[in-house]
Amino acid sequence: MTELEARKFADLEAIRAPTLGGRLARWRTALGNAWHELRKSRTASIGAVMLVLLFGACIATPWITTYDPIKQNFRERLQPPSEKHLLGTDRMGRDIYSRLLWGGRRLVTIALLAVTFGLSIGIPYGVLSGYFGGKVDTVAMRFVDGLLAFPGLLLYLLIVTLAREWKMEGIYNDMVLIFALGFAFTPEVARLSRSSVLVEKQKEYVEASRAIGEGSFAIALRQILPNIVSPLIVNATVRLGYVILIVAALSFLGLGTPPPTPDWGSDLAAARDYMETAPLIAAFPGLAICYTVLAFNLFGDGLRDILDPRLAER
Amino acid sequence: MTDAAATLLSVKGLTKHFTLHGDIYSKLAGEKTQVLKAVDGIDFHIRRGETLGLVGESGCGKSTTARLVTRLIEPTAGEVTLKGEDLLAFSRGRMKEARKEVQLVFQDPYSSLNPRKTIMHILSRPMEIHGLAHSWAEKRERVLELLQRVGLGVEHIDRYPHEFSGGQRQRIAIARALSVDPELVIGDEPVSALDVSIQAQILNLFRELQKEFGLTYLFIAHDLSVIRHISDRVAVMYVGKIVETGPAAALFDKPLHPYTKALLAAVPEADPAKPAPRLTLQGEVSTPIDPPPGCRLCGRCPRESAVCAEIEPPLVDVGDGRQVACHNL
Amino acid sequence: MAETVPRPVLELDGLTVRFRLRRGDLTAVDGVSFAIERGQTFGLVGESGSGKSVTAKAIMRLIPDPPGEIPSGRVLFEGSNILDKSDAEMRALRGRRIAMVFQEPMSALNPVFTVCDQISDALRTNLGLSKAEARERVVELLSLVGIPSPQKRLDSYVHEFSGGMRQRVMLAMALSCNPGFLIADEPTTALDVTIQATILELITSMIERLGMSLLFITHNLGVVAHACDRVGVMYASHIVELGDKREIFANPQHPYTVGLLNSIPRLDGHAKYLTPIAGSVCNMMEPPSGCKFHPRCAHAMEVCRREIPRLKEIAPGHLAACHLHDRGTA
Repeated sequence: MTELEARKFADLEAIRAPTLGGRLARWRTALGNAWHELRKSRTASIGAVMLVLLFGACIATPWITTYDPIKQNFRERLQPPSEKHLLGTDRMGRDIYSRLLWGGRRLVTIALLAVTFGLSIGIPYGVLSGYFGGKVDTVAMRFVDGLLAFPGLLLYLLIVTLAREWKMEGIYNDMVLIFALGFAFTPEVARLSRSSVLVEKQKEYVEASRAIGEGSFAIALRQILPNIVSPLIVNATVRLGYVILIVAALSFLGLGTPPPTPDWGSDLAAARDYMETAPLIAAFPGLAICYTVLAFNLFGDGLRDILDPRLAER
Repeated sequence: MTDAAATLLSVKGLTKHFTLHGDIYSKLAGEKTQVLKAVDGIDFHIRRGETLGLVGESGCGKSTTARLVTRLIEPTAGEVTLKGEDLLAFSRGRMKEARKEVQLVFQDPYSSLNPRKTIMHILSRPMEIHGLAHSWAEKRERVLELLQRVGLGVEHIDRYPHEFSGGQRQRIAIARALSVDPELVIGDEPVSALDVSIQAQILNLFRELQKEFGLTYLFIAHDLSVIRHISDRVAVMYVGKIVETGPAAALFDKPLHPYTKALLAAVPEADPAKPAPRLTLQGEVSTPIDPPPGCRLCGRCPRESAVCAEIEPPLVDVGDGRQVACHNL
Repeated sequence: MAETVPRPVLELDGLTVRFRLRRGDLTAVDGVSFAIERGQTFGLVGESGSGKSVTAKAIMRLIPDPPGEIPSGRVLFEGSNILDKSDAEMRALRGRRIAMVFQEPMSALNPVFTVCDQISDALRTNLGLSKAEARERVVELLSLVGIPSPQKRLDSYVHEFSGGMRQRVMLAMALSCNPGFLIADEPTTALDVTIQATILELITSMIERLGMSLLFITHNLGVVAHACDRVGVMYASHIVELGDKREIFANPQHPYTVGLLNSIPRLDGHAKYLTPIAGSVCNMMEPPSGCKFHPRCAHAMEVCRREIPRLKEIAPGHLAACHLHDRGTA
């Protein structure tokens, strides 16, 4: 066997049964490609870097904070930033830096769970409704129209007030919040996925799948769904920023988790009284909200720029 | 072999009418709903191992016919008999099995392959559905064989459709059709989206595969020279009707129906010495929406007579295996 | 000595069009030269991606810049270089002296205006006709291109016409200001064969009647065989063969032209297998070295890999760009 033949044989063997290393290599190239695509849009790259920092901070919170976020220390009230307290302390003498990080961790988790919840209900709903069409679709979409007609903020207020009424606290309160925010996201997701499915359904590969005997659910969820994720990802990313804003707003209004749980919204509200004497206390949670929402929006906008031309190209 | 055994697929009185729903205002105004007669009672049969070419202009119902005989859409009326069994009476489960026998190759290789699936998935999925391969290794082996058979390198197996050219994609689509070992392959304009030099490659591939696997083809196209090249027998469609059928050579050398004649005269042949293309009919293609009684070619035909406007000409035998639907032969 | 040879209407001299894309540069048209005489129909034929439509757009100065640019070459229209003209001069030229017909009338015509509005708009701005005069002229034009009862169809919208009729409307619009030169970019590709025949007949008779010159772009060799006088064959941004229609069809010299002609199934005769060109069109982002056709060519030699062949005259008026012809001439 010549060297060339041997190499060809080895290649064929590798194709026949790819090794784990080969598969990992493919994943690596896929990741590399994704980063390459991302760099085409400056907006997306900046957003991505900001998000990596944000998520990094959220994950590392227990290790990079030095104070208990709810432990009060009246001897060190309203201190300016110093070596001991990186961002100073609030009116109860709690370390602002620690509170921000713990609050952010909670906020981001709530947002992620809420959006995931919304997607996991909305996508199958919209995809199946769009794929089956006809009367099923009409009824399903009128229901969604009804939900969309109901103002989102009112819904949150209603649910949060109910939660209070039923004396839900701590983790239960957060779960109610997640449910409410996710539920409010559902109609939008359902609509978006339905309209994408309507476009995708016309393509011949769907017909080809039917011709080989693929079942309806399999076509809708296994064949069509992967083709409509791009607009959904963009939408979900922007939505994450929006959800964070809503949660902060609710707790600012005093409808979120009651103190002393660290929370950007309620911290901001509490800091209002010290606007003149210690404006920094209000500035930090404000900036944190700004940063997070901006990060998600930049990333989402950039993603749209990257994904859209490719959709048009096809 | 008896004639019935030799016939793989036969179609009788196949009809598909679409009801066009006007908007609510036209309904309120009392306008009648219109009926689009996409396919209006056609008969044909395909013998084992032969190629039937179905030719016609856009909107004549040839693609609808392909979807009717594969039950991708349900016909309004008519019979479709596959290997002596009534296809339209099949239950869901039985139909799924029958899908293995009849495979489709679509026109646009850019949209007929799922852009998010690898070639491996696209070609192995049909085997999975029909239980033709069990282990992953077995599937992989068969997919590699298929790729080689349609003239693609084995290294392509884990790639995505967008990495291929139009001709290569059409080869993948053909491989998908072959993956379940069908008896009948229906090509719905499988070469019309391709460039001339690639088209020739794919036509040759169809030929080779037919010889190797004893396939039967229903080949749909609007290009008459492609139909002439690939078909043993030809059926010409015009606005939902078959107007002429017969062996390819005879039909092309001596067309009988005025529409077939007009089609052939309109083809620009790649030879300046041949007569220039011209239209021997008047006006434009008739509408399939609520067509008037009588022959569909009425008003365009040079040989028209009084009877044409009243009675629809039936498809009658004229000898030599040819059938024509015209009052004035 | 300078004889009074009639100057060609249009002369392309080493036209090169490049697109600067994110992924790299793409040369869509590379050193294309040909001339169209007055009253002549020149067929530019090639497969998709060969650069034939880009050539037409470059002549009309419709290449978007960026990403497109024309680094070299001249386009002489009646003696003056179109590429040097100002935008205002170009606007005066388009429509009035050079007109264009596209493949897709539906996207080239505006769906929110009536046919009369669209055609008379050009008439009024270019020729300064009054509204009534323009309307009269539109009726004339519509009957010229064979639209039955033009008075009635005048205020119809584009979507109310059939495909063939739309193409006629577009032709009427192109002819509205009496241009001397027409570019038809795949005007019959989207049409059925019977309608194609009528449109072809219409275009050729119009050209003859109005004494125009025509650049006809198509991928269909059959159409070229009947509609054109002279033919240029394009492959991967180059013109590979150039000559009179009869010469090209009877005596093709470039392996690509030969391959194309052999790839077409014929209406007569029943060859069991066609003889296609092997392989597929090269990726224009990473074109092969030397002759772009060499990876698919059965006659490829060592020199084909190295050098891009130039167009050489093989017989009077018949040029081919192939190293196979070097032996005879060099």
